[in-house]
Amino acid sequence: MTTPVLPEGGPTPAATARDADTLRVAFVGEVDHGKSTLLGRLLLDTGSVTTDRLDVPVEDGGLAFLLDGLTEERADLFTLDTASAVLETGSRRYVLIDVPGHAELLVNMATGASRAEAAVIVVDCRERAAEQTRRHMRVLAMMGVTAVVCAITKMDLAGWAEAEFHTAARQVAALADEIGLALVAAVPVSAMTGDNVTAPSTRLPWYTGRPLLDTLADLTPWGDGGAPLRVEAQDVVEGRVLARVLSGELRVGDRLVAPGEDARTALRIERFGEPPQESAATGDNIGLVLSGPPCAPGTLLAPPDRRPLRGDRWRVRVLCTAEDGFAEGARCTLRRAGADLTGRIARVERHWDSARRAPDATDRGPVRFSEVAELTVLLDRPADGDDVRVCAPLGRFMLTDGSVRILGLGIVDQIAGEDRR
Amino acid sequence: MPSALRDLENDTVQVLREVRGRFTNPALLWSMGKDSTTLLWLVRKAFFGDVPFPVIHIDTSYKFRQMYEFRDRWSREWGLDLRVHRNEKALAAGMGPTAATKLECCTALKTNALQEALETGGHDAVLLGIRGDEHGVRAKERVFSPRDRSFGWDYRNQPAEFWDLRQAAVDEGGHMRVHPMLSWREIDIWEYVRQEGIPVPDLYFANDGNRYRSIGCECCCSPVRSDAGTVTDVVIEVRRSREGERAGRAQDKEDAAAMEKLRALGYM
Repeated sequence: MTTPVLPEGGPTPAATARDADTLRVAFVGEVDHGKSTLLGRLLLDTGSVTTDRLDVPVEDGGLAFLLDGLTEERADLFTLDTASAVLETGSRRYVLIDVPGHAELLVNMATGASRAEAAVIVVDCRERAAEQTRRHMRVLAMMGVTAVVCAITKMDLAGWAEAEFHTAARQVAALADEIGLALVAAVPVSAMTGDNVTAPSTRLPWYTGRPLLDTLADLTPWGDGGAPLRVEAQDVVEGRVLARVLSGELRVGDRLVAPGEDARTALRIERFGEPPQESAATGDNIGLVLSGPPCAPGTLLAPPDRRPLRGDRWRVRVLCTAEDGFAEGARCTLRRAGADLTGRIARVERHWDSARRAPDATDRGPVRFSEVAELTVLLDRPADGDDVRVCAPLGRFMLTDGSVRILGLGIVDQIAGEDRR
Repeated sequence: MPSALRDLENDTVQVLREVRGRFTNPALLWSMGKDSTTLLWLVRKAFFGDVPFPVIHIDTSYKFRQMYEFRDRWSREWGLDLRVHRNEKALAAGMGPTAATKLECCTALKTNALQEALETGGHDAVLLGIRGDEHGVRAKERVFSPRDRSFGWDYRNQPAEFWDLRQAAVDEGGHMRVHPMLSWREIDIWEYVRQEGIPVPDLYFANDGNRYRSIGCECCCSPVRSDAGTVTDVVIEVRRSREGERAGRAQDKEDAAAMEKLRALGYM
């Protein structure tokens, strides 16, 4: 069986995100193209770090050390694990997220990137997009990170040459097209000298755009795109449901239904120590008083007229982060908002290196580390869920083997199978 | 509420509720400092006034008098199941900041005392108020950070965390360190303390032109020059400051990698 390949990533764009004044930006790209250094430069030139953190001079690589805090990272001059720092401008709080570039550190890269809703692709102007650049772009697309800028770095080492910049920028743009990422801008910079990072540079007279920091202001994360209301019951305390709004807006008086149960009415929305609220927004963790009996932890609540899909046959896409991979037939658990779902990998449809184009042919062999795989998962029992493009928070999951081993991250493309509603 | 603070609050509350659902016997580590006191406040918010975890104080016996008073007052007020743990054996043998290096003293009186506390209580998870912006090494932490039986932090092989999804399993005999405040910065804490009216020890406010920016053992903390006498003054001061928060903490200074060594041994 083959199913059409869906466009990569998240839901449809919307005007507003969860909060307009915080933007989480991951800096991704090939090893040694200068992610940590560029990030360090942004922090230093905006006064975002305390003086004690720059304990090694800039010319000796001290900028990268602002985020590379481990002894091993400093000794061997590489980023081992993800870290973040905050930069504030007048209107926005940026959480800047550094990730490692080494292929074998994909787990740490994906951990960092999944915390972001925007990204800067860091590309050395002389080496251009390389293996990990492509892989990281694929990971961003899969995660639904769609607000992306490309920083073409080390312009000082190319004599500030316009041609170098354009060649690299064109190549990255073509790659972005192929993968399904929309680039907002490409910006030439030198992190070591600081040119065009936070202020315009006289050494780049041919560049008519704005410095990198200013282009970040144009990054608008995709909102939930009118995602339907989804509420997760986390716990029950004295008849009150502790709940999280996964998507949409919950209002007092809304009708909510859980699988196999009668609809309830939201009677009160509360936060401890605060006056009762009329509504709760995406991401809010609240107390919820419902008509009828409280629902069990892990229950997903939805409006009766926009319920999730229900089924036991799920088509998913997974980025494999397990060193020894996994194979068709394996037992698995989908950890996701609400309760964990158990099942088995019924079929590996096809899989390929995440730095490459998807192949046309099916390939049912074992899935290897850092590959993207399209799978059919057969759940032990039907469960409610959403396609990632309908509701991202519910369409994402962590794939495990049911014990401690994490197999990868995944998104839901399609839910079918027996409906026992 | 400013949306950035609401975001931080939401994310922390979600972690706290997840911990209650996924672990059988979690505990919270309270040092009476501003971060773990804020964490305790957020637990009360998450569970509507209840603190459904035992609260552990690792007492080196060298804390400020004001911290003990603060502990006793608020643990009564909030109805905490407070459990105080000291490494009595080491204290009886004379362990203290002048008897050994800071690394040895912190390890004996904090790390080893914590180890005993977790064993005694049989806890499979422990909540800590550490923040990523405190130190370059703490910035590398995960929200759920598994520790093995020997307490070690395997920083080279930290488990994946994708979006807000985390693996909650630990190996036999190990426990989970949970860090719900990792994304908070010093300024966020102070702004939230101001907004919520969270009580903190008076040591944080100026007295004779000095205040403590970070508190721990009296012998190993130096105050900073400051006239910030109120929470609002502190917010303004921290916004302007270019000095590191832990500049007054002696154990960080002994050698450059002290925090990493401490953490590798299981320090908080």
